[in-house]
Amino acid sequence: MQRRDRLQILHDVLFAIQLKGPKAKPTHILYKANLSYKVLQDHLSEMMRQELIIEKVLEEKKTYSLTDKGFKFLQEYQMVREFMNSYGF
Amino acid sequence: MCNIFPIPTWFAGPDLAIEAAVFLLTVLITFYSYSVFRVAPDKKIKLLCVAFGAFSVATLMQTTHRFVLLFLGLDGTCSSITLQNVFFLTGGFTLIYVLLSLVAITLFLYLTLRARERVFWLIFVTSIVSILLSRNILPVYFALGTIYLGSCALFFISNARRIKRKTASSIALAFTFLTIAWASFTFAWVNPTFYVYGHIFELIGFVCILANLLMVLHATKR
Repeated sequence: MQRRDRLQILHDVLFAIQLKGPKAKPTHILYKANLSYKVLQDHLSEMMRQELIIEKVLEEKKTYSLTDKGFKFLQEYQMVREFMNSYGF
Repeated sequence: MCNIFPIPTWFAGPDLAIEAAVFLLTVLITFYSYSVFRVAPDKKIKLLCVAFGAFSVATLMQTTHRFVLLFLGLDGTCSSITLQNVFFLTGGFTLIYVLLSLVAITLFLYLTLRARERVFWLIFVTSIVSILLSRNILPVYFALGTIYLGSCALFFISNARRIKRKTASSIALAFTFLTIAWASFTFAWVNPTFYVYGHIFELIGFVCILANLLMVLHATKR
């Protein structure tokens, strides 16, 4: 089995958030994206820093939703993948 | 110190036009790569943008340098002050050009070697020191550049053979042409005709890189 690169994981996490609607819980995301809790937390904080997702806290529970930039990434993922593939990255 | 290319007299002028075209191509490539980076803020894409940006500024330096030399040459006056200015100007522009394009080429090498960041700095510093300590800056720079670009070309060729896509083939082709271009520039001191070949291959190389970006953008917009 081939290891997923960072870009693929980014896509899988964003896709999981999109599937779960505007308020995705961490458990749903880690199940759909097939990641451990620790790895997911690292990726989520990185994605928040890059403004791809936003975190909301409701009744002491964290939920995540996509920003416009996150939606744009999902739409144009194929283009980015093709670009990366052409360089063998 | 050898900072000026031996140029065939009939090519002084057309070379400036080709260098200006290469500059415009590198600007377009940097712009399109940056548009990909804005969608996916990935470290590798960022480094590619930096590499193309560095190439772009380096080519601008080279074009300006050639333009000034051509302008001074056409002036017809040759005072000691003019010669001194040309000497300092040429040395300065050459150093900036070599430094920036070496940043770009070393970044390509670092990305294709999939090495640690320390390897990038090691290659870059070693190259800079050996270039600066050499009596002939440009031939040494182009010889090192040929080796580095050749290594990148081999990586991109094996990638193109593995994934069998037009976009990957265009990159493999581009870096093969760039390697031939750099090798031609190295041999320009043996025979100035290689300077002409170098410019043509360099132009074709960057056209291939731009073609790759246009193919990527076009294929995903359909």
